[in-house]
Amino acid sequence: MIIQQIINGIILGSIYSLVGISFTLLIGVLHLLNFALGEVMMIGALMAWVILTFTGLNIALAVLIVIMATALLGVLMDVTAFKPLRRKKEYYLAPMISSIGFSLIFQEMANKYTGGVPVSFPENIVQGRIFNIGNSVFSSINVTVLGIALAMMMLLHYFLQKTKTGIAIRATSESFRRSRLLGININHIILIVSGIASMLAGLSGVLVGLTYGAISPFLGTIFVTKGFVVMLLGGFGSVHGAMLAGILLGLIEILSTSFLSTTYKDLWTFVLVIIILLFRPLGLFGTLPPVHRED
Amino acid sequence: MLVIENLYTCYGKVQALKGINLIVNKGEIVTVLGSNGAGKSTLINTISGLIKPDQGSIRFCGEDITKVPPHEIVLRGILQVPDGTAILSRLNVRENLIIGAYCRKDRGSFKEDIESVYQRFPKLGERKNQIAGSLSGGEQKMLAIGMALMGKPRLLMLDEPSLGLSPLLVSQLFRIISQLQQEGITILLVEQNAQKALNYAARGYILETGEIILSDLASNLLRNKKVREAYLGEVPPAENETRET
Amino acid sequence: MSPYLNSILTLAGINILLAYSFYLPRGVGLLALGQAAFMGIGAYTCTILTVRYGIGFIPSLIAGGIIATVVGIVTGLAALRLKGLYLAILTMAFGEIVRVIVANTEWLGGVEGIFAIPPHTNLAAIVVAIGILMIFFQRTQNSRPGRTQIAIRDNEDVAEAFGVNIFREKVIAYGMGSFIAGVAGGFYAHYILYIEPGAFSFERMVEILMFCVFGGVGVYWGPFFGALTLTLIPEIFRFLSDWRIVFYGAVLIITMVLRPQGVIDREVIQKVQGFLFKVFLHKGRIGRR
Repeated sequence: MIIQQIINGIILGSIYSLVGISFTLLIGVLHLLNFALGEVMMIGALMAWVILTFTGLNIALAVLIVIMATALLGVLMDVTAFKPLRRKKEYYLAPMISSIGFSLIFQEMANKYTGGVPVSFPENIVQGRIFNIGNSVFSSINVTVLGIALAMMMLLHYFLQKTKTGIAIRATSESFRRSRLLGININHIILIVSGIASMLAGLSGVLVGLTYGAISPFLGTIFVTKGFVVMLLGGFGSVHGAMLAGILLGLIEILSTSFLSTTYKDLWTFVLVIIILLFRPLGLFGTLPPVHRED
Repeated sequence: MLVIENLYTCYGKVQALKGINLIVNKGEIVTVLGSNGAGKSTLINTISGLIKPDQGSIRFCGEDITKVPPHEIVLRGILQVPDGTAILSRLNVRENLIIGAYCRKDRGSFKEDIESVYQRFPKLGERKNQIAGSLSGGEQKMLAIGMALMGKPRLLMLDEPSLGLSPLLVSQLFRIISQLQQEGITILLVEQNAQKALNYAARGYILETGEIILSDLASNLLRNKKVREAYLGEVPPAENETRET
Repeated sequence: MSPYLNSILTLAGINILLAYSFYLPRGVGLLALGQAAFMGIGAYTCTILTVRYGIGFIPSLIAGGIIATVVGIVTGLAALRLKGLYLAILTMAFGEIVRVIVANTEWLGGVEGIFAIPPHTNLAAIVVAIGILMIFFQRTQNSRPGRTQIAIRDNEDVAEAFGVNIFREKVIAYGMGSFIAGVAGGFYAHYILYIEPGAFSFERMVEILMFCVFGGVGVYWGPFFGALTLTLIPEIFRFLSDWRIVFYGAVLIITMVLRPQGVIDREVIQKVQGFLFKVFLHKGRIGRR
């Protein structure tokens, strides 16, 4: 029984990790808190629903389309609203308000499209099979979701640690100015990071849709909080921290629901998060929240 | 190689550079001296493209680079070792060197280049995987120079490299600078340590509140009375004393 | 005045007070992100006093403010030594903690909250409250306390070198901000007639932040304008029906690109003053002759 819950927790947690990574990437590299990432997640899920329900395309193609579309969306948000503010001292708070503007627009438009009601994903997207580990039961959907999430995290790790662009991104997160002096084109890096962050959000939306079989246009609001908590727990700007913290959060939520009272689920999660922060106030991979200096 | 003509640059609301004329020839070490606030860093950062000048021109190997963005200045072979923390403290030594070579198009001699940096700075070789932020001040300076070397610079600009180093390390530093010049790298050295700088440089410029007030061979500057009093620590004679030659 | 207009202006007034609860600490450079919690504390205190103990509205209102202030000062003594972003995160966390505690306390109504609150809030009282605040701002901005605050906001170390007791000023500003938020909470409770913990969540704080960043936190007219406009826009543009929220979002984005410092800043005030001067004094030919 506990094995089942632990693995469920990891599956949910891996989705939380992806969301957390998208937030922490933007804050770490671009010093930006983008509230709209929650809605991007919802848009990703909605897009996948549309593709799977109305076209005959399979899940792999749907994921691919969502990834590209949400990445583009992320770039567009940056270019229209955040980039003009980057050199100004108001880069501290103003972009947050812009991101709220985006989230309102995205949520309203999704609301109009779905009529405010949740939509269900079609059945049999992935070949239905049941897996057993001991007494635990998992569907092929569970396996697919976990597989995609873990694969994405490994890809990201490899990208940031071993590729030239990845190291350049990490350099940029430390100092714009020093990176410029190394020949790094900051504008390119910004576009890449914006795209990746939104893409991760969009992908996690699809995964949520697959896991729960249904999504609502209000999905975004819930996950913004989760993303923020994961970012806080993992350490601002720490991708590895977010990976770990997300899984931790998923485990805490699932385990506290099954072993403690369901009504107080959020409370226990809350308490545990506070306890962790008391011991590691800067998060698991503690880094200071970045202060933006255009240098 | 580098020709600066009539350069005017603002830093915030202050006119930091006023009518700078400066030349660096291929293979030389040229030094720019001046006290704090004279505009030395502004000069280097303008060449690097981080600050846009209001007037004047900067030409490199015949090409006008005045309006070129910073990352493209680097692509042309002009590399700066900035003052202060010149390394990326969150990356390890090896990653810093890798990113130092970011601007290079050729992948060819990459491995050999890293090895040669480790040979030149054995301490770095010992600490390949150590996080750069945990290195000592001197080691960080070496790493910064190593990073610049990975970029295969045609013109290497150093912004106050001796700052914060012990006398022993300063001597080491200047020996390395001299080595680099012998290996064919042109160097523009911005310094406060006038004595050392003038010992190693061929020519020097004295910058004071944004203007070049002296420009001469280093050997002449070493003998120049004003330079000796202002920058080399010589005490001017009191009025009723006679000066000994 | 139509009941509808009265209702909207009342809500706008409450929002203006809330905006000021953030503006005050911001004036000494503090990013206080827990003000929604103080609003909640004030709301619940005021409500419990009026509904369960039958105490009059105004005394309950003030009691709500006082309790909020006490909590504010106590937490402030602990937290206000921190800098910038750390304080922001801590106040945010504090806000959430309060909300969760209330949601899990049956005596406070738990998650469902408290219903059937008598409608004591009237526009006049709110206008008076706002009026008092604005007169206070106008008076202090050019006086010693006002300049002290600006000094702390702009450069703490320098201010301290000039003998300013930074910590004391911060606690005072934070306490005042909490008081205003508490009073606003009391007004809110007796306007909406129903309160539950979700009304004082971080979403509310984001709203308050919006009023201030949109309106501008440089001068005291900023939060006023921001709260007023952002409360009225969804109403004024009701005719856009579904599109009004999209419109609202677009307004936020475009305003931030064009005026990231907020709509109202010192320059704007000076221009408006200059304009009014010309319009009203030009007639009597006083002044530039």
